[in-house]
Amino acid sequence: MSRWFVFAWLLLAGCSNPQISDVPSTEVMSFLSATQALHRQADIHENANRQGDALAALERIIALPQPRATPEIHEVLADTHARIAETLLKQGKLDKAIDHVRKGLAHAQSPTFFRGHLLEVEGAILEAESKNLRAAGKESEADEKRKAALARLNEAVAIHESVIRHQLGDAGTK
Amino acid sequence: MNTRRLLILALLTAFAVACGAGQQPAAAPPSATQSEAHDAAAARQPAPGATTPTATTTPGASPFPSGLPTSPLTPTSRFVERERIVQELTLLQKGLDLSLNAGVRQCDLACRALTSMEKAVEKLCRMAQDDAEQKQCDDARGRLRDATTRVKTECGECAH
Repeated sequence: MSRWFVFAWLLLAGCSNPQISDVPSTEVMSFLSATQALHRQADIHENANRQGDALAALERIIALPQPRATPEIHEVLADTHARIAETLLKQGKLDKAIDHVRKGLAHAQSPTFFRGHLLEVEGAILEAESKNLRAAGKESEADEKRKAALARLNEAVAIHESVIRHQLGDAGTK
Repeated sequence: MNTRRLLILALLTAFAVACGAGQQPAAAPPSATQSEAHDAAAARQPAPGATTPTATTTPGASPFPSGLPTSPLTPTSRFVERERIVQELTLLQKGLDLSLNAGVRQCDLACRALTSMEKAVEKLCRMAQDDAEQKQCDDARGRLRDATTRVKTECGECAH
């Protein structure tokens, strides 16, 4: 649900005042609009417990012809890769999930919410990998994965903390 | 608290947008008002050798006959003025929309960051084994508490 606020804002910012935002190109607006529609479709499928269809809708976003890369496009792609990775994680497809996290991270290189979220998802995937390795009796490899998961999760916590501080200022502390 | 903050932000932005908007349209229409003023001034200047027409030539007096509105706005300049006001109002509304949307987006991103942070801390603590990792967990919990307070203060409850 809250994802729509971000998309709506991106669309509004793009069409309301070109002096305030640099997103007025028709291609960018069309891309954002198509992305929003496909995310909605994925929501509907997820709510009906059709994970495969949800995944297909999300993968269509990645396959859309992409306009010139703007920060908004990178954010949308990073967010979509994170959502695909989460869905694949639920299905136990860990290799594919981690692949989407890496692709997503390529779109979110600065410490934004999108990077923090991708790292949190990566931590969850690494945790699942660690459990699988432990179940297979590979203790040392499992521990290596566990430590890697902890490192990603610590990084995610730090990024989210700074995102919240940045978005809301210093009010409300202590 | 949050609504009031948003409202203040919105009003400040709207004010700034309105002030900025007032500059441009004011510069364009003057071509009409300036030319009328110039015409009116020219009308006040008696042409050499011309017969001085009635009251309009009296220095400082209105160039318009008495009984008519003293405003120098002709139908054309009234139209221009109305257009300028409509333009300003539109910009004002857009500024208001944008600042409200910016506020919503800030809280939306903060809420999403908080949700993801909660998940990360939960996993971090679940996986902690030794003392150092437990310390990391405790530290992360403390930071999560602070972040939760911050988000709650500024945005109220997040819709998960």
